[in-house]
Amino acid sequence: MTKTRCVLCIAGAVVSAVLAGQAHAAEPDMTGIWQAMNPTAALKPVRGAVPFKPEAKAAYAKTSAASAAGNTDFDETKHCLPPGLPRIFGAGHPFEIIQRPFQIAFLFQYQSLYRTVLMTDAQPEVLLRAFMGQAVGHWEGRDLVIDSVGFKPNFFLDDLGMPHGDKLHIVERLHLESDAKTLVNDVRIEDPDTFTHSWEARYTFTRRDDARIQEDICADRATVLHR
Amino acid sequence: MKKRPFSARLATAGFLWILAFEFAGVQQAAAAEPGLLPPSADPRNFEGVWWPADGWPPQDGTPEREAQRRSPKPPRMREEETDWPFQPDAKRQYLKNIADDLAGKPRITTLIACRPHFDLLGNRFSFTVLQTSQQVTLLFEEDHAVRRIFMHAKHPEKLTPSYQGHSIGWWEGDTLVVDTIGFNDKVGFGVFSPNHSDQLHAVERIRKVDGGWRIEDDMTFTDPKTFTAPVRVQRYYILRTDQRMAEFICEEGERDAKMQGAAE
Repeated sequence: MTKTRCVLCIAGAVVSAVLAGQAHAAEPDMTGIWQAMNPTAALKPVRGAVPFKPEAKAAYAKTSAASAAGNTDFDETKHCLPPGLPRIFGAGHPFEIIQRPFQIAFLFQYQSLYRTVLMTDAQPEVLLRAFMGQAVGHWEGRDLVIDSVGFKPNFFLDDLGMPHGDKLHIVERLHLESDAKTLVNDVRIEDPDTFTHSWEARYTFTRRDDARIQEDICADRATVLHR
Repeated sequence: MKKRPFSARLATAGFLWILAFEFAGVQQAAAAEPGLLPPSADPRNFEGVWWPADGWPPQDGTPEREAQRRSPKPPRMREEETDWPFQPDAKRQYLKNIADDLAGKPRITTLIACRPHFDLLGNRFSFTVLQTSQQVTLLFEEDHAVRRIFMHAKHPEKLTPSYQGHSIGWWEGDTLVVDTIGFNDKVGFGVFSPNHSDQLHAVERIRKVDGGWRIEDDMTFTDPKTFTAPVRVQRYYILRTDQRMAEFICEEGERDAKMQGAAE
């Protein structure tokens, strides 16, 4: 009897180990260098129009008009502040993903910025607001799902000055296409102070194993420096 | 003799395993923050969040605090630099930098503010190590600096000079040896040292000590334009299982310095 139980236990352990191994093997490897081949200045929803609240719509119209007229004073990336999420994905500069079981990092060439995603289900308490927000991630089958909160209020969601508030919540769902050379990031944006309901945008990246990330030190690009 | 049930034997094995860890001195952290790692038993695995051993003390009673207590204290940067074998021009610049500082002239100008330095030498904040077979990546909190160590690689023949230089690594036993060239000459090592030259060559021997709670970086700098002899410095870092890294944007505090007009 004891022997039978022992065999059953071992068989159970082997089956669960195999299943766990398969679950792990099912996660695609996103490690590598990626680049958006069609960068866009304006963040556009997959369907319909951006569901702005009236005040946000007016603010966006103002900055968009200024940008069209060549006045980008509203944009603090020229003072070397980070573009924030998700704008940095639209920039068209290459970035590197390093995928580890406990953490996944996005290393952007632009401004040599990086973003880390802790692989855990629950958001820890937000201690410090950030341009990149605070990100936790988990795998749902072959999809990497990243939940980000805790954003700073002083950046824009796109190059044209799309605003947001401190309740911004971004959920990304990344998957590799079957050729493993295309990475798709479906981004859901929620912010009850800015939008009437949540909406989705999509970024598509191409694998660039031929590229090497260059060091980009924004302060060295500044043309007005006071000694 | 009647065999004990499998579950009982499993429990005994588990108990012995825990005891073995306790007596081996590899204490498990009571409650690691989500997404952070306890010390790895693999001597070649450096993954986790690291904190300078001479940095602000972790909470009393934690394994991090104990690891800090066991670390030798490095000399203060300025005292250490005084003993460095500077070339005459570099020594003059070093003394001038100190004199300027004493006279109240700011040493940190917009020409060096927010630029990454040789991070493992004078780092005051955390860094994360992510490791694959091809690349050891160091993500520094300060100045969001990123350093890549390419494993089993060669330095390219043509290198664009950079703050981080180009690093290649290999294993000698359980020591990660890192060879870095291709630095620019825009910054020095510390606040007072003169800029190093583009001929700087850094060799680091990085290994885990103290049951994985600390890493030691034994650095040797050769730079014939700056030093008359190699400079050797050791630094220790302790593993943090209790602390996440934060976003550090130096330029946010420097907006008044008008770093304007940075183009795309």
